[in-house]
Amino acid sequence: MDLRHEILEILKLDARTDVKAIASMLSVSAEQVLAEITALKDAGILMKYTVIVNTEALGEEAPAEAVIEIKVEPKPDFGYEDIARRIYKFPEVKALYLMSGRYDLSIKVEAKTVKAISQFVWEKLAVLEGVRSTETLFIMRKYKENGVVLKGDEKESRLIVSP
Amino acid sequence: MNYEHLVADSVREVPPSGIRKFFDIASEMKNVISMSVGEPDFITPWNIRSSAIASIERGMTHYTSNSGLLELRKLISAYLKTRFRLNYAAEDMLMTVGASEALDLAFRTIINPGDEVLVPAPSYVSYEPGVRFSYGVPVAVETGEENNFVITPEAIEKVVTPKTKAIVIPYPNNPTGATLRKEDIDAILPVIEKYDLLIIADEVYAELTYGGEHVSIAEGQEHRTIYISGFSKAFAMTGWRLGYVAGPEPILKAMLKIHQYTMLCAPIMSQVAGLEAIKTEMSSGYAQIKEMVRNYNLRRVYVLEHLRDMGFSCFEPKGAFYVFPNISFTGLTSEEFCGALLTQKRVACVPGSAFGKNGEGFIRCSYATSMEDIAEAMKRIREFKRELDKK
Repeated sequence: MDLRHEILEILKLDARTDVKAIASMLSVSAEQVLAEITALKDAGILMKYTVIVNTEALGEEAPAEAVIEIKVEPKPDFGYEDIARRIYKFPEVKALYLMSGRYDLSIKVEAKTVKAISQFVWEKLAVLEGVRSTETLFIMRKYKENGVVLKGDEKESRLIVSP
Repeated sequence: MNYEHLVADSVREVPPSGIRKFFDIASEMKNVISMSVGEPDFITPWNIRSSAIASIERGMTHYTSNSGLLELRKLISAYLKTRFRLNYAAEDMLMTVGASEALDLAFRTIINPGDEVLVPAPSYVSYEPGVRFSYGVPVAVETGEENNFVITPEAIEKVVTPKTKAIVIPYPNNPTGATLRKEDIDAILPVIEKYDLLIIADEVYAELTYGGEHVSIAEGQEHRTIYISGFSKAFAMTGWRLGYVAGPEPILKAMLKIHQYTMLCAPIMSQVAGLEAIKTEMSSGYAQIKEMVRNYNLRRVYVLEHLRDMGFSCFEPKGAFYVFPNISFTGLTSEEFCGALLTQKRVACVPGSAFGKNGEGFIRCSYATSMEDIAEAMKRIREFKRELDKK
């Protein structure tokens, strides 16, 4: 694995790992790590450092989330780009993918309430030119997010000292 | 009743493990960061657990043959061949309850009262007691920082006698993290051949080798090597207690005799899990193991650099998941050092003295723990060291 991939792997595990620690783990200078990270950012590969939140644990304040599958009519000259852009610009839309299968686009939407998401669908999404149909699937419960089990049943059971 | 009297001399004379004592102190404390654990810091991969659960559901709850599932032994035989160029047939192999049982079988099979067995010092806590329980005499082959804790022909020559029957060769090594290079093996083999010693190779850490491939002492020496390994370290399966031993047919047959009367067989669910573990790795080109080794390596390099930066002299360990820094310049014994580090900074390491002769003056730091904990432990050790320097 080359240096940039090594750095990405470390940051994917813990985005807070500082440049000095990365340098130490990879036996390179902090300057080298910094240069690679800057290059990764400039190249649009390293986009953002963020956190994984177990929103369910927030209780009442937990936002409503839904996956919406959309059938669209691609435009002759723009393909899916144009319609995709007009959808992902809504701040409620957290993710958008072009899919294989029965639907064209799949989006993930987040809003304060289920009502707010419904409203988004009928007021903003369904009426867009080029959208043929939508199917809204509300997320009822989250078990795993971005590779992290949100409410695990596994306990650390290692002894504190062992031979 | 005089119970003291009832305990056999061979058992009474063996002191309790130095690790045990430390465990008792550390487990009473809160907020302790442990760098004293001798097992992987992740749970057995789910595909392995899942296959064991399925086997129980299918009713696989019986004994297996004494030697263990033939399919599993065949697979291990192929694995040893492709991975380490070792030639051991499935028929010359025995599934055991951890590599620990295999060790015990090896000692009991070959030792007559008074026979001497060479054991590198320092090394894993079980070898010496194991030899003693079999009425043998463990003899230390000294290793040290100056030769990267590798046994040298000179060190063997110094202690070998007509009574020497075998030599334990445990690399990658616990507690030092030392590994054997091809040239190290080439250097010691002539002495081993000269005195016609049997090799007991404990290679349970073979998969955890950094910056180079593992070279087995058993390669080309199958006829004089009892080869012992297991699933604990490479597959994070410590609690399953699954190991194996391969060796020359007459010795294996004798070992099987003890095994069949004392243990009968290794647990079937563990054997099924082992089958899944090794099958998956072989078919994926050892993907999970490679990922694990890559991860351990980051921590290894990090810990080594930090300890050296603090001023500890520390040879570079190329195997297992331990770093073995020299703490003798502090003027403290390894037990005093670890005791003070634990009570003052809540970091648990294991005193080198627990690993026998030549371990004094060193401590064992296991990096099989999260990067977050390692970073915090390094911070605390640095503080501890700074306060020591002031005194």
